[in-house]
Amino acid sequence: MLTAEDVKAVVGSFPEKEYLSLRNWLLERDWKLRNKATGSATGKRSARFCKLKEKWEKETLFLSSTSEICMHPAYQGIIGMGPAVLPFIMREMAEKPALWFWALKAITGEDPVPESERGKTAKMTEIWLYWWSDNKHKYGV
Amino acid sequence: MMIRRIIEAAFPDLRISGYRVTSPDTVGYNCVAWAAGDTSRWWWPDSLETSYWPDDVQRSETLEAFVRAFETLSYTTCDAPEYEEGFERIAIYVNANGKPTHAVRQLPSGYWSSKLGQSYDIEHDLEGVSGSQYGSVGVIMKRLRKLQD
Repeated sequence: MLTAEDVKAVVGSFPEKEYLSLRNWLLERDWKLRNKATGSATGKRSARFCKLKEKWEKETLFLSSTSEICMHPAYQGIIGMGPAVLPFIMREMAEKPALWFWALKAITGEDPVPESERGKTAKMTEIWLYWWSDNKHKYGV
Repeated sequence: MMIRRIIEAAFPDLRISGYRVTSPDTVGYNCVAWAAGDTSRWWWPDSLETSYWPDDVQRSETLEAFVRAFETLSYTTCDAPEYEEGFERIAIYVNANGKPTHAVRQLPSGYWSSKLGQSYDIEHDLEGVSGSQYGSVGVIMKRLRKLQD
């Protein structure tokens, strides 16, 4: 892809203002192209996650069994989406705590929650969100 | 209200026996925690150990384990569900396979209080939440009511 540096090399001395303007334009175009290519995949992933989440929430609303809630086919489908679903789960948790902990343990293989905090939904949510801020770079976020 | 329609669709007997929604929905605690008097944690013996379960009680989804869990709170099994002055009662529901599904606690009025999973608390008749969702009452337990300070 042609960069501002390439253009500069070709045209020789390049007025600074025009150089920066062209450079920024090229960077912005590159960003838009990359996001256009991945946006479609992200959009589909988001739609699938939302669909599964809504089905899971509706069909487990009155359940108290953590096992039944987390073995629900829609929840298992979310786990099956793998690490790519983590940003969506984290966004959900930041807005409204829910029983995402099975999914997070299953997908990441991690468990930052100490035994003393088991069952404390709000505290577990906070702990996982902190974990995510420290580890999301490992998942390309 | 929409929530009443949703509740009555899941528990049709409540429409007949009557009930009252008594709290907003929350995932901070579940029915077992509510019956145990604990609104700070979600109680369940799940195999991934994400929920709270009393120490020294087998982490098993059996009626025996649930009875043991409430025994740690000084409850003992009994036969009668009727309100008895000076005593607190809880009931554990089981499905057709005998697996625990739900727990409720009795109110001084003689009615019972349930936390409906991830949603609301309701006040109801003991049999009001029996049915396809929770099954039927498997065991009733009681303990001496703690004196208020």
